[in-house]
Amino acid sequence: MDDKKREKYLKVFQAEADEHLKIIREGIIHLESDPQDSEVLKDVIRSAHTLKGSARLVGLKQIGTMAHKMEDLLKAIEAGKQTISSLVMGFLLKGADLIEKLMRSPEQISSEQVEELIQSLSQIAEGKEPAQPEMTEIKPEFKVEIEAGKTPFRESLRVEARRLDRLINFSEQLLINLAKFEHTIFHLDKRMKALDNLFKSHQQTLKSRFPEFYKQLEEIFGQVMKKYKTHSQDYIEFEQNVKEAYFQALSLRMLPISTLFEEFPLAVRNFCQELGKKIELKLEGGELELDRRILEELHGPMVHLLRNAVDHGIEPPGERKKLGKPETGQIRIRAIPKGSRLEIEISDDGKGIDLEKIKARAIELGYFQKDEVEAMGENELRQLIFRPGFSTSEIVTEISGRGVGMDVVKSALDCLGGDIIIETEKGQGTTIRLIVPYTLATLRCLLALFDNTVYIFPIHFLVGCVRTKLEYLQTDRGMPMVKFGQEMIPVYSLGDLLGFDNRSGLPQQNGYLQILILSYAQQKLGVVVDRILREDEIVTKTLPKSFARRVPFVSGTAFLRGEEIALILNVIEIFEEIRRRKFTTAQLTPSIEKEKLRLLVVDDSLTSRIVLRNVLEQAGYEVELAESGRDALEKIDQKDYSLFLVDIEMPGMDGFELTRKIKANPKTKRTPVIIISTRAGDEDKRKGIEAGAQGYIVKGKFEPRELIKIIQNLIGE
Amino acid sequence: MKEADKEPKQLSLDQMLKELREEYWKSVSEAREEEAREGVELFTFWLGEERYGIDLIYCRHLLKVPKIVRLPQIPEHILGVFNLRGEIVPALDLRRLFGMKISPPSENSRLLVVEVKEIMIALFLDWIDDIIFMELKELQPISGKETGVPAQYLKGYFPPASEGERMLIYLDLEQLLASEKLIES
Repeated sequence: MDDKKREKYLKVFQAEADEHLKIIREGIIHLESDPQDSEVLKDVIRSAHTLKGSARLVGLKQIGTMAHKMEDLLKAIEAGKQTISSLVMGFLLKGADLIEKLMRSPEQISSEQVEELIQSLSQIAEGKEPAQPEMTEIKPEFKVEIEAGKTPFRESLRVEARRLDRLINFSEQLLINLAKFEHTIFHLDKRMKALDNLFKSHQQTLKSRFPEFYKQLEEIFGQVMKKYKTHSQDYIEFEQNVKEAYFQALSLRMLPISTLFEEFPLAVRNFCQELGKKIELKLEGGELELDRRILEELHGPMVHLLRNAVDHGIEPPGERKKLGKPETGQIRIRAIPKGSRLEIEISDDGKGIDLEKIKARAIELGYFQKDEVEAMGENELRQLIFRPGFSTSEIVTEISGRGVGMDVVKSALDCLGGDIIIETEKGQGTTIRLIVPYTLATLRCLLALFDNTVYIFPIHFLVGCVRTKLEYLQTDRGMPMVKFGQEMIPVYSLGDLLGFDNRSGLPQQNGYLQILILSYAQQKLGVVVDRILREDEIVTKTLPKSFARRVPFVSGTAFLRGEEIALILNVIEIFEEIRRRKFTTAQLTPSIEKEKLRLLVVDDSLTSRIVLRNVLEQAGYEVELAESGRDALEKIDQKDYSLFLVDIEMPGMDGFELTRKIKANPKTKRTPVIIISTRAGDEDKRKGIEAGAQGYIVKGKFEPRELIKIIQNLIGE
Repeated sequence: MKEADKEPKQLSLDQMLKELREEYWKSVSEAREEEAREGVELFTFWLGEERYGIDLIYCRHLLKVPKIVRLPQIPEHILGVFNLRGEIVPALDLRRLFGMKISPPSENSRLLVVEVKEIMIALFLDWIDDIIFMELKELQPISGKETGVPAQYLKGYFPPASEGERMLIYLDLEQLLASEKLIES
């Protein structure tokens, strides 16, 4: 056999072996809880047998021998020479694991390992007591029950997922083509009606004045109208068929949830062994189907929730006995159709989530004060566990409680457009409901243009849009803020968030800022875009595999009507980015809790006022603005200021005159004045000093740090 | 802008290929039997002043440069992604990866879509050159800094056939696309 052929055969073998290993594993776990099920035992034996034969055929001797020994042992069980126990079954599962490893990464396996297991398997098959591995002190007990819908048998074809994705891509493209047609037909329809009216209203005139021309025109026009009608009817049929084809194609990517559930029995078994718990796992609704991509996204969160249930939920057997509960705990996973969405419910009959512990943890982490926590309702408290870094485990174990967890579960659900609900009762158990759409096909969203690219904001993160002018923004320590309802919300340019250096300023359109207000986990954020396009329903697509999960801030893409690629923003990541930045800026500027010094900036130029205010606020000063000398004098009458920054060229009263007035006023004669001007001449400097100013700064050479230094020298920090 | 909005037009690479193959087969059909020439069919192109070649078997489509959507915070040598008949394909600028001088896209710029081990990616080219058969015995190993291209991305070079021509740098596309630097930031 040449290498190429061999490689091809190996691929085929792997695909086949995966299926048999699955049957073996599921079967063994099933047999542990139901040793009498001879049908399942037969299936497992058959799979081991086939595996043996195929492995030998492609020259994988070790796998062949391993499968052979497993088959022997299974047959011994069938003949009643050996009994089903978790120990014996453990050896079989080890065999399956080793086969998988031999197939995928043989370099990690030593031949001693293989030999040893083959030896053990043959001994057990001969009816000998298997050697006790060290782990089994705990004697875990484990049961599994899979209820309802065995997936009905159907004729099937094995198709690469990639080819399926291509088919779906093309049908999505068809849908886009369809939308373009629809657009054309809509306009064509309007024109045809206009044409028809025009024709009818001039019918008589034409007929009498140009009888020959009219005859021809009527004939052609009649034909065109007839064809047009046929075409319209054809189009409706075409539209329905394209849509149907699209949904059919999409449904190809639907898989039964049992494909997600299948590894849970083994996972729970392992958790039990590690943590010394006794658990019965029930799985229901595995026959319901979900988009493969949703199943993939759910995998991590589900495993995490299961770990939590085993680790924090179900009590150790001894404790359960004391509480008068059955020693064996129950975990139930149920899939239930809920309208257009599907609910996956994970419930346990363990100790529930202790709200007191959540309170203590929230205070410990510095999220809230004691009185704030006490004022919270149960629901609010439960929501706290979704905060990053929140984990209620007292001991950090290997399995859970590493501080990443529920927040990750929550963000995975958010990305899918799903929800998560927690119900818990102390001593009775916890139920967590994950609610997800059946497919990822469409997403309601808002489209916005920025830097010539269309960005997509999923609608469930949007709380509003604000159109405003730059000067109406306020600042907090240099950060622009927009008023939204009763709240002040920080505003960022989308370019700044995404790290596009060339577009980091706040973009304005005809003097206005377009701000989208996003909300996530009780926080709000304003994002400035170039233009808001429209609300729409889009078909989502993932980025190519080579990019998967590596492009920050982008969770996917979509094709718009012009076949243009638009980027779906990962809003959660944007909030995380903000949080990170806040930490860094907090470190840079020492917290100024002492009373702030109040400064007055007098300048007729709006830009200058805004720039100066930002710089000064960032340095920790309180800043007020005046746009003319008169305005400044009025403010001085009402309030006290520690320093004045004054522009020279202003309409009406100029800077020199204002400075003289300030110095003449007994209330302010000791208050320092800094003149800020575009003029760099010595003459102006001299005039400024004569008027009584303490500092003179040229705008063209403006250096924030220099300015702050001068101010600090004059009045302190 | 108008130009960029249009759907990427596929030039008749297939046609070009077919003709060249026929020509090639005609020329070697007799000789083929006796002495099998060991060689490669290369798609050749220019990046700046340098002439490069890659294995023709990887080439899938040749396009006029379509609208490319920029992605946040990815390495500079990835220009972004574009729509190739319903598939989203990343576009790569080898000039940036190789640290070459960048000239703005022109009339002659193209995207060459290649597929290696199920990864579909497009390469930005300044000029397309030719499809040629090269004998492997002509291939010279790259010894040092003749090209400025990191040696691990190269299979070697073919010396110029005559005075005044440029050598042909033979790129190792598999190495290039497998390289971590390419996609991970």
